[in-house]
Amino acid sequence: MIYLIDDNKYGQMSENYKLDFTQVLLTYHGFINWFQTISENDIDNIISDAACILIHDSLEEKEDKERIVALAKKSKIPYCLFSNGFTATIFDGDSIKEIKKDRLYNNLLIFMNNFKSESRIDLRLLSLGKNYEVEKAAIIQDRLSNGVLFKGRNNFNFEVAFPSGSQDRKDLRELFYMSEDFSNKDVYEDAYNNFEDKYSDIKTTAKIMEDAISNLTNKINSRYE
Amino acid sequence: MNNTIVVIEDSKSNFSEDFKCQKFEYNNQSKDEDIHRWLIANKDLFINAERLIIPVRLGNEDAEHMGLYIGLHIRLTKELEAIRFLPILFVSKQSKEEILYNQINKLKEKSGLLLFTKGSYLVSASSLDEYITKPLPNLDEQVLLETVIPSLNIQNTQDPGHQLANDWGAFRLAKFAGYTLNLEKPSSLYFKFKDSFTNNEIVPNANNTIGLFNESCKALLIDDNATSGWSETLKHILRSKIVNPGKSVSLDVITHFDDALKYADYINYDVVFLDLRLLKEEDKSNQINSIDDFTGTKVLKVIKEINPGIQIIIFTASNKVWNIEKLLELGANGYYIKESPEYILSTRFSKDNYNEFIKSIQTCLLRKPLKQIYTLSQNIKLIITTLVKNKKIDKIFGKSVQQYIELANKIIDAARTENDYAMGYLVLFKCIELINDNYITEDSPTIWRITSDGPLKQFRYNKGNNTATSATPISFTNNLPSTFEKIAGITSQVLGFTNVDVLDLYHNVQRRNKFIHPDESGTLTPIQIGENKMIFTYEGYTKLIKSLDLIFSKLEMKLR
Repeated sequence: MIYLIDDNKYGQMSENYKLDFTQVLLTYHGFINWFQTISENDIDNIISDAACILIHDSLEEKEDKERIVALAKKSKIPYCLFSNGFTATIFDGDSIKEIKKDRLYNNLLIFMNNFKSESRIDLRLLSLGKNYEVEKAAIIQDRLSNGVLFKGRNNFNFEVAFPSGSQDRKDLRELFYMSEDFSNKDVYEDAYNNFEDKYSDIKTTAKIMEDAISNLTNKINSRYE
Repeated sequence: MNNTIVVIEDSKSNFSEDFKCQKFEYNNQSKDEDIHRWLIANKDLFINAERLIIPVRLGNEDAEHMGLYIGLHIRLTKELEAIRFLPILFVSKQSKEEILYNQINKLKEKSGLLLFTKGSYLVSASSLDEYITKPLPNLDEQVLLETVIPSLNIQNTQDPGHQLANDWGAFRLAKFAGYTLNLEKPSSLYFKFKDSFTNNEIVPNANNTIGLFNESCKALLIDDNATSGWSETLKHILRSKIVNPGKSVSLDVITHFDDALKYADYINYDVVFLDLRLLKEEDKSNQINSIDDFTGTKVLKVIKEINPGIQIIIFTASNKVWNIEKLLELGANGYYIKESPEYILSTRFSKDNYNEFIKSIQTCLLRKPLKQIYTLSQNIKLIITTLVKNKKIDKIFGKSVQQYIELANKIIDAARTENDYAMGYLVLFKCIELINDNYITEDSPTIWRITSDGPLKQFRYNKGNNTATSATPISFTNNLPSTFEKIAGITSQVLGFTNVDVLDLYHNVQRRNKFIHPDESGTLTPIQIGENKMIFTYEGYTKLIKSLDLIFSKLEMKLR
């Protein structure tokens, strides 16, 4: 069960987020449960069978909110804190510790559909919608391209541009992973190692690396065209 | 080193060396207030800057184009002064159309619009060289304010904005009061965006102590947002615009609706400022259809029930005439339209709104005596009701006195001109005549009698020592006792009035007589001098109603 804890009212949902909330609750009956306020008993029930908890960060019962988040972390239940006071989308492992409220409601149906059909919680859908990979690839490409150029446009060095363990290195790996439909983890690991070896070569320039990143992105995009 | 500043994460810091730019390190600030403070705190870094470079995507997880957010803050933050006008190179692989398309129908805020405004350039990282050396003009202030900012079309993304509207309203009122609040201005993009449209307003006059109220003032503010700037601004207004500096000013605060309903000491205040919406839910709810449903209206009714003379100024975010009319009908004595960022009013309207507010406070303080007038009236009416119920006085007489008091109070409450005050006085004076008619009868051609209490004695006014004393022998002019002689007889012979109390009655009667029959001789008519001229103010009316209260209180004691 997905628990949505939001003190908004029906009217506001449709007014602010163009979402027929009654329809959501009917369509996904048995998959989502909505609370406007919560009591002590509710918290125990929620934690006992939640697949995911979506909770308004500005909830009036602040202590209850903090308790739910702490219990979710302890029980390894993915949670998502949303508020329109948040500007960015910030992940915390498998959870989202900050996301804009209108982004969450914009993607709620996609997220629910996936949960109903696949029985799987994928908070990436909540953050970037159904074309998650396209959007994520665009973000990574932008960040990496800037990084490659910013860090070595005249004197490119793979290890300097993508230090081991850095976010940029993780991003590159994720982009590569998304670009191919790898069914086997070992195959993927080998392919990625080859990719890294290829571009760690001394002849690689910033331009070559940037083109390689573009190619990975184009591959992802082509799957959605 | 050229005068280009690049906003960038620490992990990409080599960039600044390659391009010979200064680095301004971005540390994943993602909330408006954090971005705002970070920019202001580092303002000095930008002193010699000629252009800025900002990657469209900054930070670890950047679905929201943080670079553009930072760009918006730069354009909208007044405190950044000249930095706002710098050309900004936004860096991305995507086109501006792709970026904006990504935001359309998904987010209320469309930071991508910034890329379509003058002074913003979207470039790919590989073409930065060209732009770093190219001369780029600064924005002109007029272009920024009149072209760039209006195109940004920033929407309110906060939850329906009770707090935001209150912050906005408090800052607007403070601005027109010429006061700087000790609060940090809200730093949301929406607030800054709306605030940009008020740039060229002329700040009001300097403090002027001429014509200030020369009495102390005890005020009460009932507002759930009292502490977010309202009480501070009101105190300033009362101290500097309303009350003479030598006099004391106090402002108490109630922030909870339930406390306001139960509060028992409203009578102690000269003026009450009452917010129409005392619960946050009232901003969210679509259920409120009638002005009667607002929490403020409920408190207004409670206070006016305690004493209609307590002066109340309503704070309302509604500028609907029918709502305001209804509030005035319910007894509100003035109103101030709390400004909201949702509808930017013209500077002219804001000024008028402020000036009318000041006038309302002044008027309320001038109407301070009404509280006492209503208290005394309520007491008289209560005594009469008891006396009638116990059959101690004639029912028609009692009812008539009550009706005249009610009518007179209505007139005095609505009085605006000298003649209005006098008219209220004359109607109230009718009560003296009713008492005379009820208790004095002509016993024989020469003897007048106070009902069941013996013959009417005679009182005379001695101008020399300003006293009223009983006279012997009794000689009523034309054997017809005057209004004063009748009421003086009743009150001194039957109710035990002292000579001083009788003297008050004399002046009460004189005031009425000199108004009805003005003496046309001399440069000043008697109505324009001394006690008589009080008929044109609350003072005369208060003196008359005090005499009536004393008459009925003594009557109650006698008949008990």
